[in-house]
Amino acid sequence: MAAALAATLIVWLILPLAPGDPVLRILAAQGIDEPNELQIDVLRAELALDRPLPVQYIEWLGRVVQGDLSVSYRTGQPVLTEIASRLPATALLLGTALAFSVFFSLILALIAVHFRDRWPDRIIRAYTQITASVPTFIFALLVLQYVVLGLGIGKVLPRGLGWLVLLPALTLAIDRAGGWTQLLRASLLEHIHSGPVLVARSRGATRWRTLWRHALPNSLLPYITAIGVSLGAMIGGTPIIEEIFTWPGLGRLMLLSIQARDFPVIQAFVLLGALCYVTASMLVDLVSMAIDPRLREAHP
Amino acid sequence: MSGIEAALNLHRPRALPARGKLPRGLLARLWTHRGGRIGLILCLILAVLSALGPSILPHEPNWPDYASTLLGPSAEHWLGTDATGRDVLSRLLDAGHRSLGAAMLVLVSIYGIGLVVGVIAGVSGGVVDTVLMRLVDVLMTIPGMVLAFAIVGILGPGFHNLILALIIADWAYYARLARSYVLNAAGQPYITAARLAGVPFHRILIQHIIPPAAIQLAIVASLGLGGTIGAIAGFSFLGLGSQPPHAEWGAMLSESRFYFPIAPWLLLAPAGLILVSVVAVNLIGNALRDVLDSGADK
Amino acid sequence: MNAPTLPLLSVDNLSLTYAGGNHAVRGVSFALQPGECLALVGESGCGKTSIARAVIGLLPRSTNTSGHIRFGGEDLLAAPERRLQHLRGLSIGYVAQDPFEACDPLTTIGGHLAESWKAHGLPVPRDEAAAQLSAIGITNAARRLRQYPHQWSGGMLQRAAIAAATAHRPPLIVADEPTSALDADHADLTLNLLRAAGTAVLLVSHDLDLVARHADRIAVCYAGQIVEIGTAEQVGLNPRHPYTRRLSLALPRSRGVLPLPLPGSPPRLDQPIEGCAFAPRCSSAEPQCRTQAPPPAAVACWHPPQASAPARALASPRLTQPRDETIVVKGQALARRYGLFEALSHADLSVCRGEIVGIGGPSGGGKSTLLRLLGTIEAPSAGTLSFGFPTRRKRMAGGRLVDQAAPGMVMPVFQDPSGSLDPRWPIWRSLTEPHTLGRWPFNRTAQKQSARQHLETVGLGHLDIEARPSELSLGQCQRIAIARAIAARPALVIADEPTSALDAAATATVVGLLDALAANGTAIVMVSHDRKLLDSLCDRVLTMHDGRLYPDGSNALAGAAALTAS
Repeated sequence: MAAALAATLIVWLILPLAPGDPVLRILAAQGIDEPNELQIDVLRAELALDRPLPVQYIEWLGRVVQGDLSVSYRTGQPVLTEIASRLPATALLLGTALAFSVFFSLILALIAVHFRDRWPDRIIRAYTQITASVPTFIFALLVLQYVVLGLGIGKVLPRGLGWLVLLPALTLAIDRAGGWTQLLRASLLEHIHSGPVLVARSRGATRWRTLWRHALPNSLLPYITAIGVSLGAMIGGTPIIEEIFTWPGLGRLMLLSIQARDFPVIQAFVLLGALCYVTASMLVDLVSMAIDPRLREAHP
Repeated sequence: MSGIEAALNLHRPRALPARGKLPRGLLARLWTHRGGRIGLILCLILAVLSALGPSILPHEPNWPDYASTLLGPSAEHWLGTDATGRDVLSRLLDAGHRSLGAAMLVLVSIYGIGLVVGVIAGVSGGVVDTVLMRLVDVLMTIPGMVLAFAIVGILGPGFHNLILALIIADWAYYARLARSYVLNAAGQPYITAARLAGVPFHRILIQHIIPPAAIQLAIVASLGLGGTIGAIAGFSFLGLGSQPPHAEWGAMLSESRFYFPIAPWLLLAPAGLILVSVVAVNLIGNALRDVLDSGADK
Repeated sequence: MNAPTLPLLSVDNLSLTYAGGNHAVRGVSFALQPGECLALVGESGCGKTSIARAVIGLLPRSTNTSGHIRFGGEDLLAAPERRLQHLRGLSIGYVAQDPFEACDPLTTIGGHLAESWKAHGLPVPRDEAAAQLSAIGITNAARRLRQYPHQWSGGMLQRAAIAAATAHRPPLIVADEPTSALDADHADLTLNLLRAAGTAVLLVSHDLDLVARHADRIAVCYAGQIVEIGTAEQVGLNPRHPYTRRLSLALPRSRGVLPLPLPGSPPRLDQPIEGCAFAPRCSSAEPQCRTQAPPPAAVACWHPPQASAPARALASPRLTQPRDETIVVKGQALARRYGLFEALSHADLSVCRGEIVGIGGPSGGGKSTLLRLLGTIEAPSAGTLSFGFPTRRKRMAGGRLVDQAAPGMVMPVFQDPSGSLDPRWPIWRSLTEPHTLGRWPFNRTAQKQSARQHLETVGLGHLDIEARPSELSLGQCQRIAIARAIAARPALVIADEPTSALDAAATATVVGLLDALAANGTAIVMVSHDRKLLDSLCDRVLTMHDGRLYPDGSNALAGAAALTAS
């Protein structure tokens, strides 16, 4: 919790450290290219930019909590509006990709373990090796080239959301699922040779039952933790993926903002990323405690 | 160890010879590893190409030649030309030291900073440890790529800014790992034995604690190098890294994006090279992990 | 004995080879009658666990098997997996060694007990679980069933595991070292419970004395073969095979009599063995033993020694030395707290030169903490310590001044031999560390020479000094750790469970080394959960329980009270 708070400090630091005068930028974005003294002073006082730095931080924090993330230097619109308009697209993309990834990795890992050392396992292992080596954006470019343009599936310039999300989401999912499959498979294998599974089989359980009821629940903990951490990486990867598939989401907004030196939007993006990470961590902790009774003792 | 335990250990796929002692030197051990050998060869080739690249260019990489635009691979242009007539092979060679060298620079910096901070934190304990780890925690709250984007956003697009951004974004993870390795090594019984025997603390640190931590961190770093190469290529693809006209593999992909349907070599050549680099680095990373970790278990 | 009845289990020339070429079982045959308890005894790696797993049919898939295992007339090795799955739990039960490792930490105890039924798709009888718990002496069933394995003690958990294994009253139970992970007090209780079920038991163990008390017959395993089989009286009290005799001698028995070490080590099982497997280490080996393997029999030996020759004659008493009253370390009213947790509440102890003091007691009682205080690794929270060897004053983080032993005055021996030596260093470097103290540059040749001498003192002169710890056995690593301790010429050696990770032969060797060390004037304070070991080696044995130190004997009441409470 304290870490999250301190993180906001770093996020806020973006603004004072950034070059340029915020007041002039905001006024310019709102169409006033040659502001007079009065306009400058009013805005400066409004943004509390004439007060000492710690006070500025507190004021900024207060505004953020209320939803006021300042105004975009590029468009003059409130940052919150800009983000809110793009958020659904990115959320849809990441959510779908996440769901597919989890689904794929679970099934592939279970299959790989059940058929270990036979051909399904070998193919799945090859798949994880390959996706570990191919950077996501290259995979996306190849998909765009050979699937979209080559096979005619999907559109290069999607209009509207909905089913069109499937292609970018699947691309992202297939790339990500490799690492998770590997992790889950290794974890499952470790537990299959463990004591609990041996004893369960000695009571008469079938292989499949021990896999499902004993190996899998014990393997879920590191798996879920990896997913939680991956979420942050996926958010960071949205600019590239959205650029390649021309998906109108937060990632593309971020790119535009970087090119336009639109600091409030950049700041908001970082804030969003941190927020997602903290939320994901908390969720992972909660789920872990629900699964593993030993973790409940530490947090009464 | 009972027969069953020995048999179960053999179930894990190993690329190393199961019998006999491994040769003692690191390079020799990597050579005997199936993947390690391929990785070493590839890395050697890539290193040579990167270093010599700019000196063996068959054509001028940056000047346009509008008479020869979008030519396919031929004897004159081994990998074809791009939309402004520049020879693809030359550009790739010219960019090699930039793409790969930058990745190495980033990784070595992250490794160094992470190791130093981790060792200081792990060894000092107390207030110093708490302060450093709080800093690390705070930095890790912001996802790495997001932070890198933000830093590039503040400093502005540019190759040096990109390198700086990646370093700032990723060192915290390595610091935390290094600290846990240091604490792990410090808790070993042989450290207590050395202390009781009277070995001064600084010598215990240098001879017993830092080497295993440094080695384990190096294994992690080598596995992360592929990601760094991909990140640099990706950022340059978005126009946030290397600026034109300087060639860079990722940037080459973005420059020619719209010509891919009619000139697939413009996609395949840079993408292929990036791929080969990442594969080579991953092979070495996996080999290092197999070789160095297997020395420790019975 | 009685009229011949059909054996319940009949193992016929069983051979097992694992995927890596390890020929773990080489032609084993024995039979088990209904209701009988047969113990398979041997050291680790002898094949007894493999035999047990073969009976229950849970060997790794890639294992090569030959021979027959007949259970009620059916050959288990030829049976399909479906049939085996049906037999497990209903007709053949299994109890594992470490109850914590064998219980899924995510399932409640009630879930574990119910597994015996659910695994076969049978409905769980009502109140069955509660009845099982009260049968093993655990009250308050409703609350207990909802708890998880980590909330129970080892002894209780193992008893619950036995209850689960016997839920269907299977005619045969395979128990793989069911008491090795428990405190000695619980071992007898647990085995009594196992036998009370009335079923036939195939008991695997490395503890000859324990099985002599509980089993009907004993089969001794060595290098994948059964070298001796007979009734518990015969094999336990008057063994005839040379290996069994040496094994029983290597176990600590009586006060003041050291266990006799067994030289050499068992043969490698991935290569064919010519002649008798024990011949290289046997004192009565003849040329015939080296070329021809003795046929399987009650005593698989060409020349078993006379049954009447007392084996005890070979045992050696402790080296006696003149009593020396010089105090090496003396602690009064020692206490140690970690935050709110009181690891040590009160301890009075004084140790003289050349004395070996043993500290026993249940795990978690504070024994290791006491050792750390005596060795000045940590400072006590209360109480005083005075030393008979040079110390230095050192300022601690909180500003306190504490005594620290001068370099080399106190040396440790740890429980985990592989963690005692830096895995990246060749052993000569670890051995000479007390001398070099890490100074660079040091004279390599001189140090290596010195290292060889140290190895000689512990009987390892033949080892390659450039070897790494991972290339050596645990017993060898522990002896090297002791050699390093000796090299520092300490006044006090603190040994924390120095033999618990070792097999009987290595234990006997280490015990001999410690005895010689004490004879030279070094004081030793040793912690062990093996009471018989402490009794045979130590001059005095104290017991530690819940942070308090008791002289020997007075803890009997406290111990009994603790058992009934769990």
